[in-house]
Amino acid sequence: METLNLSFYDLVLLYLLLLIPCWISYYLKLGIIKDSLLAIGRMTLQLLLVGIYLSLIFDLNSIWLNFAWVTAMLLTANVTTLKRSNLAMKRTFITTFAGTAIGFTSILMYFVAVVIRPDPVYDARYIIPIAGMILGNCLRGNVISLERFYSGIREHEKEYVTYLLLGASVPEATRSYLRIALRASISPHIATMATLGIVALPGMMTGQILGGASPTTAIKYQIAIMICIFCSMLVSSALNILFTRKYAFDEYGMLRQDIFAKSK
Amino acid sequence: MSSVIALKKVSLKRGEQVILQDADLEVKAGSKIVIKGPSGCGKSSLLAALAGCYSPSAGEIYISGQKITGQNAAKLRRDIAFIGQEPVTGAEIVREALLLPFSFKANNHLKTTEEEILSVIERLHLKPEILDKECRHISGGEKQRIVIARALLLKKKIFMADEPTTGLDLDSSHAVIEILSAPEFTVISASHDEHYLGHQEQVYMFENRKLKAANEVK
Repeated sequence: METLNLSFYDLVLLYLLLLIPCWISYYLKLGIIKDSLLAIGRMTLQLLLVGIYLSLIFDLNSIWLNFAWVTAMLLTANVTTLKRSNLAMKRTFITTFAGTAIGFTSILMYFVAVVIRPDPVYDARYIIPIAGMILGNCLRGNVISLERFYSGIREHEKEYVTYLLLGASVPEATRSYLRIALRASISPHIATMATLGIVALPGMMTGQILGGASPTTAIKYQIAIMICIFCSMLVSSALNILFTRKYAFDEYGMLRQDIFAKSK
Repeated sequence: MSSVIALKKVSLKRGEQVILQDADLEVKAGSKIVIKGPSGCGKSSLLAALAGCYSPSAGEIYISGQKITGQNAAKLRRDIAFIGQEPVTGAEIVREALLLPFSFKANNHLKTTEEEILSVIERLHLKPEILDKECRHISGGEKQRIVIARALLLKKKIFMADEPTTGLDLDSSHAVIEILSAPEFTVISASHDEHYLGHQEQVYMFENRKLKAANEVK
């Protein structure tokens, strides 16, 4: 089955649709016209550049270029994670990078090298989009888990210190905060999996079907990717907490305040 | 008699601000000492430092003759029970709260029995039914006594108590004072409660960054 291509003219027709939200915003004085148009402009430019870059990567299909691209994705995801979870880069960058890298690459490699086995195994058409989907979800999970874990200890400092004074080690005293953080991080994905296909058709599956794949193939890929995301999210969220925890407490077991980014 | 707790030229900081300077104090086994001072002067910070929660900016703190350092703080503070103004039970059910510390590795060598729990509960004028109640459904005074009961089960002998009777009803307050007055316990507390102060042997004033003996009450 051939995919119907969108021409430049088709895209112009699509942008015309924007007149409707613009009119609603103008009429109701929502004040979102400028932000919306800027966001759409940015999205268009970013996706055009990514499109060009991906075409190049797919054509070259070099192991080193793919590796560099995935590493760049990881670095960007790590910086974003730390910024959003309000943690200081200086104290946590290496540990969270290691945690995400292990959680993400181990599952990615298993899926690509053991399950789908493309030829060559580093085929950019598989590695890059799958990496993007897994990493995007890991990022979301890591932000929630790190933020919940450290803010939980900070907000319940008396409770945490009580555990220490009752003889708990730092791992023991932080266990309940770890559980809460990991549950919060993974629960949205569990809920998504439970309702997938009923409430909404997932983007990857829809994309594959529109791209000409059979629904059966698309479904199998979707199941695979959801399982990979689930595993990767949980592993990287847990490792991020376990790795940062080693450096987040002083020798008295108290949470170091310099673990948090300075508020502006 | 040797000191259970000793401060030698101890200074404490809160952020960059010095809150205590060159404090010396020796607390003998079985002593009951209370620290008075304006609110916010740093009494709670001093108690936390004495409990081995953080290091002084200068000077040395000793527990049972051993200087507290980052390396041994976790070990030394196992001898100390900390009773805060807002008691933290740390579990949903009272019984779970009492048994919580026994789940920690460092307390593996300690054991408790149902008889022991019931005896401690009775000693604190609590009814056995409380054991199955949810912690959020018991009063502040009961919570305070549960926290003390936990310390007794852990055979702790040194108590740091931050306003232990503030906000408690008369019965709870009496029970707390009675147990903390037992001769086998060494108690260092911070309090403004006149009734509680009347039961302490020595009052120290914490004012203008200095810790000074105020008077001999008994």
